Parts: sequence; C-alpha cells; structure tokens
Amino acid sequence: MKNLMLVALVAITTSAFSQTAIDKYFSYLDKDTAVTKVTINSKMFELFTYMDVESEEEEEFKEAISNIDGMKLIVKEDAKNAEAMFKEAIQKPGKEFELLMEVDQESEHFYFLINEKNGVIAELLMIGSSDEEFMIMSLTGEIDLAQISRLSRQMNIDQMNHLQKIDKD
Amino acid sequence: MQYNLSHINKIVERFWNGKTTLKEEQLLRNLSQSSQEFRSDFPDLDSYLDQQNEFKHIPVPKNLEQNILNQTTQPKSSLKPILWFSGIAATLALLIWILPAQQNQGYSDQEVQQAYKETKNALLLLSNKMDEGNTYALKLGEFEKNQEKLKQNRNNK
Repeated sequence: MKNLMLVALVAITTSAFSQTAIDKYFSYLDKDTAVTKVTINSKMFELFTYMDVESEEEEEFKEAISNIDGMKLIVKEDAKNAEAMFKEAIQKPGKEFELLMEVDQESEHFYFLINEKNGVIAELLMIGSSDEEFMIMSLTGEIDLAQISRLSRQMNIDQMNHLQKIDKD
Repeated sequence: MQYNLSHINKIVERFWNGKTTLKEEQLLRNLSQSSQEFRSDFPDLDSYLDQQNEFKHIPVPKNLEQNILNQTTQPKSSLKPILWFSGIAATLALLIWILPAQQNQGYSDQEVQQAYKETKNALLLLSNKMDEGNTYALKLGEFEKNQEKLKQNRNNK
C-alpha cells in the first residue's frame, strides 16, 4: 500500500511539473507583452474526449489528439521583427531536440523539431514566422507525426489563415 | 395547612431552579391537588405537575436502561488494526486520485469548447505546414528519381 501511494504521488508530481521546451528555452519571451500565450493542459485534453462531435472529420480529429496530453503556444502578431525572432528562437532548443523538417517558402519559415524518448516522440516543437507573425508551438504526449500531417487533408480546409484565428477567436 | 403565598412563592422559585428538596416537591404536589388558590396563583406549575402525574401511570418498559445502554455504547470492532490502517491508506489513495480529477470540473462547457477550437486551429496550422514540407519532400524525391531515369537513358544511348 505504501508503494502504491508513492507511485500515485510520483505520477501526480510528474504530470503537474513536467516542463515543455517553451518553459525551458523560451521564457525570455515572457517579457514581451505583445506575445499571446495559450496553454492547453492534459486535463483539458482529457475533457475533449468527452465532447460530443457530429461529423466524421471531427471524430477523426478527436482520435488524432487522443494521445496528446499538452499544448503550449506562443503567438506574436504584427511582429515587424518576426524573421529575426524566428532566427533567434531556432538557436534556443537544447540537444535533446532534433530538426525534423524545415520549410522555407518566400516569407514563411517553419522549423519542426522533435524530442524522441525510447522510440516515441515525446514532444514536437514548431517554430515559425510568416510575414509579420511569429509563433512557437509545443505538443507533448505520444506524437504520431503521420497522423498529425494527415489532419489538414482530412479536415479539407484551407488552413493558411489559422494563425490569425488562434488569437482572435 | 395554612396557605402562605410568600413562602410558597419561594419554594416555587426554587423548584424551577431545580433546588427544591423531595419534601418541598411533595408539598407542591399536594397543593396542586388540593388548593384552588395555588392553582390560580401558579397555573404553569400546576399544569406541569398534572402532566408529571399522568406520566406516573405509564409503565416503564422492561430492560429500558439496558436497551438505552446498548444503543449508546459503541460495540467493539471486529476489524483488526491492520485493516483499519489499510482502509485509511486506501481512502487517502482514492482522494489523491479524485482530487485532481475534481479540479477539472472547474471548466465550463464554453471554456472547453473554446479550448477545443483553439487546439484544433493550432493543430491544423501545424498539420498544414508539415504536410507542405512532406509534399515538397515527395516532389523532390520524384525529381531525383526522374533525374536518375534521364541519366540512365542517356547512358543506355
């Protein structure tokens, strides 16, 4: 019983204090008052599973996020120095992060980094800038890259304006 | 017996304060039954003593004292101390499990919907960008394959 309680306490402590790359490497952005931070914690992801959804697409989306247990987002709109912010940010992540993919397209730059633990992607980090917008997103849990990559095709929506929607909704 | 109001008054006062002797209480009972003056001077006490008189005729159930004692005395527990300890530990473990879950209940439906919407938007952006990267990677793969084919064709000629 004593051991059981110890395990329970450790599990709670670990989940309550687990740090993401955003907490660890990007705290310097906390000073920037124009930055919007969004945190969706594991409890909220748990509540998503109880939500009623009507369409098949939404059901697929729920399935895709079922193994994600946290999301943190930093967004800065009207960032005149978005590209400089991007260049500074991509230098920050530690050695545990590997560059998975880099997308450079005209004024858009996106870096995808992963932190793999025991063959499982425990954290996916996206750092991006587009025109005058800058963003960092961290997903934690058991990340299935193929499933996430398929999402936008499954939802069949033009996603180019989603960066703006995140902040305005 | 002479009815001395001031004296009776003092006894009545002591009666309500619970300080009368058995002899004085008997005197008051006798007066209640025999003296009209007493009944009109002390109607409350008279009706109280009347009720007491009625209760006298109600028989006391057998083993009343023992029955009350049985109900008020805690029976000895048959549980061994170790089981009590396990019970407490199990309750604590359950509380540790339940408390964080209860904290979730603090979110309104609207907040959950809003969080879902934001999560969806953010993930779709992420997915879109990843998909773009994959598409280019596939295109690049095809380009390299075609380049290899052209090279082979040239060599064959």
